[in-house]
Amino acid sequence: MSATAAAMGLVSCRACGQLNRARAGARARCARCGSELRSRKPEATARTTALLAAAYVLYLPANLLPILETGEIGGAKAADTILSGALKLWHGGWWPLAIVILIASIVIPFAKLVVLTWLVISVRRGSAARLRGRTRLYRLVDVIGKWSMVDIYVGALLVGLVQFEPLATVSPGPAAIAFGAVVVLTMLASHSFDPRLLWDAAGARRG
Amino acid sequence: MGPTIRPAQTRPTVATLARDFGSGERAAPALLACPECDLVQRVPAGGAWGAIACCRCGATLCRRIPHALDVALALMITAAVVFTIANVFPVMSLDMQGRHNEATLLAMAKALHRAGMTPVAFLVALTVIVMPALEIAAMLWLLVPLKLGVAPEGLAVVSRTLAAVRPWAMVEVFTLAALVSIGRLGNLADLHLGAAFWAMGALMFLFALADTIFDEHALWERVAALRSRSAP
Repeated sequence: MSATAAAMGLVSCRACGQLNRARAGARARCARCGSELRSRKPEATARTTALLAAAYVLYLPANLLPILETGEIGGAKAADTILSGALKLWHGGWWPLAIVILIASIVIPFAKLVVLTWLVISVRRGSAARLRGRTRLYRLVDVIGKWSMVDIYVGALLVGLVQFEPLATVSPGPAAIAFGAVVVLTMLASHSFDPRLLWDAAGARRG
Repeated sequence: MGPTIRPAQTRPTVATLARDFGSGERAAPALLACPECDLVQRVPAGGAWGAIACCRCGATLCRRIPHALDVALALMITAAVVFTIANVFPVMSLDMQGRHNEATLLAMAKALHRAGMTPVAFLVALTVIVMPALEIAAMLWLLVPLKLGVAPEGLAVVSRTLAAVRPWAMVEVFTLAALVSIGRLGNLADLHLGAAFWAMGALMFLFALADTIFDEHALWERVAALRSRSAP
């Protein structure tokens, strides 16, 4: 028998960490700080699935539409997607920065979507394999998620700085909204997922 | 047979630097459940400073750092000053054919709003200005009264808010983005780094250190100690 708090009739307060004696499903408050006690995050897999679905939908426009539009003297206009912006940095000789953008804007959002989808599926299937590894993977996804905001901030700095009508101007493209939404939705998805469900599902299978 | 409760592991971290500040003993909570795998474990009473890790999944359960709250308070007072600088001065300025343009944090968000990207402007202002400000304010709200020997008002609400705010304060990500922008703009025009650029860089380290040192268990134990002292 595993000594989980749930199996022992205990609930750990998510605000202060105090262990409380509480029956499963019953409404109770933490004896120390008064926060509402929940043994697991509410509707974790359903919420994560819904947020992931929304993020998948927006992932395509985020990557295919231009995120920055630059105008130069003579009316020449250029539009950059996330990928072409990174390639421009590469060709400009700033290849370490190009790698940073590629990882933060393309690899991390995609990896988050794939990993969280896999974790939700593995909870539903009650998988008992590599529990420690999957918990670590979740922790990693939860931590690295915010780094995708790099491209949004780069865009914001460029738009704020390069306003020299008519010499050179930079304005945000429609992908900025889609990409910002992908970052926020995947962060919310990883916050709403509960890694304890991985261990619960495995425990239930072992009996 | 009842469940066997195993001891958690002590793992040294960057925060062990704090050991030089003295050796203030504090009683660790005896039993904790892992926030990530729910395993109940005994927190060893003595031992080295550092983070206490779950013996099953490796998540951090709590931290044992002498004077954690005092160190966190010092870091947050510094952060408040540095954050003010970051908001008042420009991050960067650009010269092009005799014309000068500079961007502060707020101006950056305003430019996005003017360009018709109001939701993105809100996201930027929220993650770079509002959330870091809330994090500093909430930490000071909790730590200043404790330093003065009083339990903070609205302790539970403020500490819950702090936990909710923290993932959305993205000073470190902004600092990286500012570095990337140098690459995007350096070839184009005459670029100068402003005081806010360095302030955000410094703030990144202050937040990172505070995050490894501050521990809500330490906070609640200090409060419990205060309450038991004031009770007759």
